[in-house]
Amino acid sequence: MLKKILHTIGLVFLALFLQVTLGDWISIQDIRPDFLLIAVILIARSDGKLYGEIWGFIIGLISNSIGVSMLFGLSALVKTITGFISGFLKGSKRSMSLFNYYFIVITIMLIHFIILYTIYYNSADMSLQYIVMRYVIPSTFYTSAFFIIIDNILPQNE
Amino acid sequence: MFKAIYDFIYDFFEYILLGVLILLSFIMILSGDAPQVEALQNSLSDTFSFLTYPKKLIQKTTGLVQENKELRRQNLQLIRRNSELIEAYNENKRYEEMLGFRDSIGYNVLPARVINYGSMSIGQAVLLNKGQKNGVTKHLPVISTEGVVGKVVNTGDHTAVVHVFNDINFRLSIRFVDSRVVGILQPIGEGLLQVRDIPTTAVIHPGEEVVTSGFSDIFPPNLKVGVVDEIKHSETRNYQIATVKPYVQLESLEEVFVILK
Repeated sequence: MLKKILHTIGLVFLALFLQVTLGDWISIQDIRPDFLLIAVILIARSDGKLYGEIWGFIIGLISNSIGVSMLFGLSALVKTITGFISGFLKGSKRSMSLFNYYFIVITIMLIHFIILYTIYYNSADMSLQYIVMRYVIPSTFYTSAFFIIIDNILPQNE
Repeated sequence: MFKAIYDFIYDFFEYILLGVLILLSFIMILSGDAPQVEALQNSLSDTFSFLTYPKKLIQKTTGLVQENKELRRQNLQLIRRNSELIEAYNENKRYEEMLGFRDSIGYNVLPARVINYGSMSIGQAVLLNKGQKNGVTKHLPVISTEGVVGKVVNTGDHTAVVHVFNDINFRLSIRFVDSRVVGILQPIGEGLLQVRDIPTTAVIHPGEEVVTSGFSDIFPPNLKVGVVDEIKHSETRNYQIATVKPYVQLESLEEVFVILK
């Protein structure tokens, strides 16, 4: 149990480190990969819905504190939901085809970014279509690319 | 009865907890100005500021940090003086000295280093290495040698979060230097800013400088903001829209100054 918690904490700090250190450098037109989202999905996939939503909430709060000034709690909200939904993936990687597995992961990321950006840009004079095309889809695919790489590098511990 | 409730909670614990966490998140979003929420944010911000150390280490290796700091401070003073002289010249030309043009040189500024910038997927904010212990409080303006950067929105003991001008929710009261027209500046993405609702009678030209108007309780007047890039009419031709290119390049921002009250 302790080993599992330490393993998760290590993963969270690795994600935070990557986000803070690399996030800025590898951004393309303001679009950054969300390493914290990747961590939430990996934790939820490994440990289930309960751990997914708890760690999603914690990671969201930390993410809000070190990088974002406005709408404190928004990241916690979306990452909690993402952690919960991703928990349904527990044990699924081996039981379903790789295509279906990554399709579901990308869909979860898409839901995450749709909620995140539509709430965040709510006060801005932007259409939903613009937000989706400019922010949601690029962020989803950029983060997905890193997810696929990281998912294949990390040891499989479902 | 109690067993039934216990069984229900046990069976649906994940869902109940999800509801609680979502509720907590909404409370934090909707009461962002509440002291308890701010205290939590400040405390987390202070605790996890160590995560930015590797980034700072990399920045330090680029060298000349101290020298840069001093030169930037001197540069800031010179730019302020220069800006002040230009403003005084314009005032003289218009024979408006009697309106009491105020000498804006002499702000009490605190140099600070940017220790994190925009590394999350949303929100444009920078984290400074100075906080309440250094006299930084909420709603203080932050500038660089190039111009306006943003305003302090949260402070920890040793850190401060600055809401920067290119965030979609940032608004700034500005004045066009030549035409003297005032307006509200807002970001439109791609590093550009926009002033809408300018009367069609106002004569604004590309290249015209934009400064703070001084109407804000936060920003003093005549701080440089940017330069007009393009002027166009609205679709209904009822007003003009000015696109403004900011002077400050946030991507390369390292040192800033907090204007203390």
